Amino acid sequence: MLQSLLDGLVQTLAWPAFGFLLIGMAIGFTVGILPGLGGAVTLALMLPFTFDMEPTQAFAFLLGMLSVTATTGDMTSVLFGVPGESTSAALVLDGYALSKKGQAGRALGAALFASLLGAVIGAIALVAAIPVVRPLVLSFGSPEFFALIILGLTFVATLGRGKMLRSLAAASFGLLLSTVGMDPQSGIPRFTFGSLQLWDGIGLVAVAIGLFGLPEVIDLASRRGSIAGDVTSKVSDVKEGIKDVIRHRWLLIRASLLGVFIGILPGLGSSVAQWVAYGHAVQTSKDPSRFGKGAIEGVIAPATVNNSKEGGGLVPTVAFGIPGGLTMAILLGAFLIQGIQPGTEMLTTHLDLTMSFVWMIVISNLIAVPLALMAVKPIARITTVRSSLIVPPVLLLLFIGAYSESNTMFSIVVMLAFGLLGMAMVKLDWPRAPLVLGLVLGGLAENYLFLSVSRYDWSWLTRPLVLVIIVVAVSSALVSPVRGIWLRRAAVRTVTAGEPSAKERV
Amino acid sequence: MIARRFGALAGVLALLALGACGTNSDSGGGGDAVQEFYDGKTVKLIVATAPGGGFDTYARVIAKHIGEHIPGQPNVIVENMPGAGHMVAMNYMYNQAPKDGTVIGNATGGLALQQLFGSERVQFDMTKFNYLGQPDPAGNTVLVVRRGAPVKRFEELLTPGGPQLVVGVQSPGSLQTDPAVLLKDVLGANIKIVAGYDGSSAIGLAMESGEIDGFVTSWHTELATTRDKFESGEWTTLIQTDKQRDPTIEAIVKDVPSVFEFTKDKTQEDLMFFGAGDPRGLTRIYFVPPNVPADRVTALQAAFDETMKDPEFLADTEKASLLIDPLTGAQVKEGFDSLLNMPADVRDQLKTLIGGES
Repeated sequence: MLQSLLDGLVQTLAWPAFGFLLIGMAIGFTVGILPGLGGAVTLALMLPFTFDMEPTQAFAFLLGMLSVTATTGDMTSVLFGVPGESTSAALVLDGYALSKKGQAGRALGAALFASLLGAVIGAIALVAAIPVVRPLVLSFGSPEFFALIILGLTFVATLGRGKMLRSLAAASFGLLLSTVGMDPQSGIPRFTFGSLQLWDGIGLVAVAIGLFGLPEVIDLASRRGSIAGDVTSKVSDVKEGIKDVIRHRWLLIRASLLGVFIGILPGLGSSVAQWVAYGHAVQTSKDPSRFGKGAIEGVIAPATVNNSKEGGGLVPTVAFGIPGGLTMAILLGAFLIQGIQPGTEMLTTHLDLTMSFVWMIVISNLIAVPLALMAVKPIARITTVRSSLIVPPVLLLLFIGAYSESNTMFSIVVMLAFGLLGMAMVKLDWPRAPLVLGLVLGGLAENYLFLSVSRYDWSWLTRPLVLVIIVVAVSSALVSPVRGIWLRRAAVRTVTAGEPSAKERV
Repeated sequence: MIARRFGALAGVLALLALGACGTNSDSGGGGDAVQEFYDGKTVKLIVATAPGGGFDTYARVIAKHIGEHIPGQPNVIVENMPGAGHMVAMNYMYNQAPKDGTVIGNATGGLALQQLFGSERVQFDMTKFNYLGQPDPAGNTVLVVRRGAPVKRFEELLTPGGPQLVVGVQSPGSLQTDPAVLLKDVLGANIKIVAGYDGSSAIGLAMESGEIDGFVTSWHTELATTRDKFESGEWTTLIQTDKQRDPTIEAIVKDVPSVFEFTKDKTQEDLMFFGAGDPRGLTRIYFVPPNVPADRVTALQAAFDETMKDPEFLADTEKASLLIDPLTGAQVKEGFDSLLNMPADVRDQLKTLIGGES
């Protein structure tokens, strides 16, 4: 094991593989910042250029690109409230709230540093998990996935920040929206109103960009000033963000492990992880009411998980040839191009190659994050530029981001419609995150429930792992409101006692 | 060598940027010579799927090489137009795409059945497209089962009261689903169909965990991607849809019968042939809209055929594990003509069996 780890490192640092890693990173950096053009599309476009490369060169190139996309994709979420990709949407909630308080530098610093540590801790956990990966993954069938998704849905309670009924209503609406489109079991179009555009359902990127991005842009345009408002002089320190991450090191570690776990399980998709991590951050916070208003934990958790899950996702891809998401599916294509047959040999005889993949993710983060951190100060200054200069380019980002999801004008219509809905929800104080969570999990929930029932009838309910997960889900759903009441009472009792990590900085 | 590759990458990035900005092709430039028309033009290759899948991979490799074989050497770029199971791209190609030969389409021929069954969403007539060809071989669909499956031979599924096989399929109406339905409903095989797996990787996971015993797939795809599983005996195949037993199957898995060894009459034979056999193998078709000037169609067809023989193209496809065993445009057209003109009674029965609600 140790030998493979070292061999992997040597392969990664060997010239010219390292050069390809750097080129990949440069491409990933650019693409990550542009919204819409996600890691998956970039990988697909770049795949043909790996035909002439050696395996380590090809994977250095592709993985360097992929891991940096995941890191820099978070930047637009924090700066403008426009998610760089569908996997960065959860970061908008608190990241942009911090920018509006003039703390963009702190938020970016925290997001980037958490990304780096997430990738590293994720890689370590991954290496440790390799012996148990196969039994772990194979113990999850459709019924277990369904139970996990139910568990994910219980986070709705925490995402709503105390507005339980409104959260449930918003999440239900999200679940309903997920039923739009072609029913995957019988092939019957539902709620498509005769439009082919709705056949593939309502696009997550367009919804997230509209729901979160548009209201902020309109708000910015109408109130003049700058994103950071009146606190323009306080472009806060990047170091502060790094310190925040260290202060919340346990959250960081938990989120990293969560990311690895979700990454290892194929079948949950890449958009789920961030919301679960965010929900976890809210649930474990001593003062959940700060979330959505600029809680740094709300930045740290999703940023961490976004990078730690990439390493996790590699495992089922190399070990079974079963990709966990779109990016991993494309990477699998790259394996075949390089004549590498995924299989358990990748965890035994070819372990050094697998280890070199892990190293590539770690090293590209080690290089990219310090570079990005250095650039944060000038970048964060964007939030102090007056809105008349910022609104047009950000609007453009919104439109490009929505359009590039499916290359149709229809996505822009969806984005605008959800933008209006988002504005109404903000105005009337309805939580938006549960809606997105419902949309993300709804399709998966329906699919796995149907598969479970058609495969096992109702006997799937008695599978041990299903029972365990459901018990956890039920207690999670019960604990959260009870804890909320308890915390509120405790807060009333000790009004004056301040919680250091909860200290607001404005 | 390496420096050259780096340079090539930089060039590609520039191209990418161009592609992202959207390149409008001039339509209707005159001139008799095809060469004059294509000179300096950009030809768009519309792929009916999102980036990353088999369709997209084939299209990108073809786009890289086909330009050199079209007179005037136009620049060829790929544009993805995913949606509604290829329907969006197909409708676009028939109704909206410029009919001057600057737009080539790539979608699944499986949509011919939707047209046949009279789906109201079909706004095209597949007998009227101008076909350039198909890069990979048609047909031979197989039923793959894992080692621990309850049956070893297809015959066992036909024994009354015998064991049942759980077969996982994706969405209804796909080439991976219809043959399973027909094996069950036409040949009477004892199969339990679990529908709705989201893609071939979900099916692969269900095979690994033992949730399903088997799935239906294209033999050529398996040969290119999971050959070792068949060689090691982890997977095997029970039945194939080719009329003649495929020697490449025989070389790895011994004695795999054809479905036509089990059909009892002409009706069953027709149902299996049109619903699961050769004509359904027209999957990765390349075409241009109706009414493109004939000389340009001929030039594009020739360019497609030449690309399929181009050693550099073949080297790339071999690297990418893409099988090349091309059909010409004429062969593709012939296939659709036979499929779309099947006897009315066969069509009606097929519609009941696999037509869904359309």
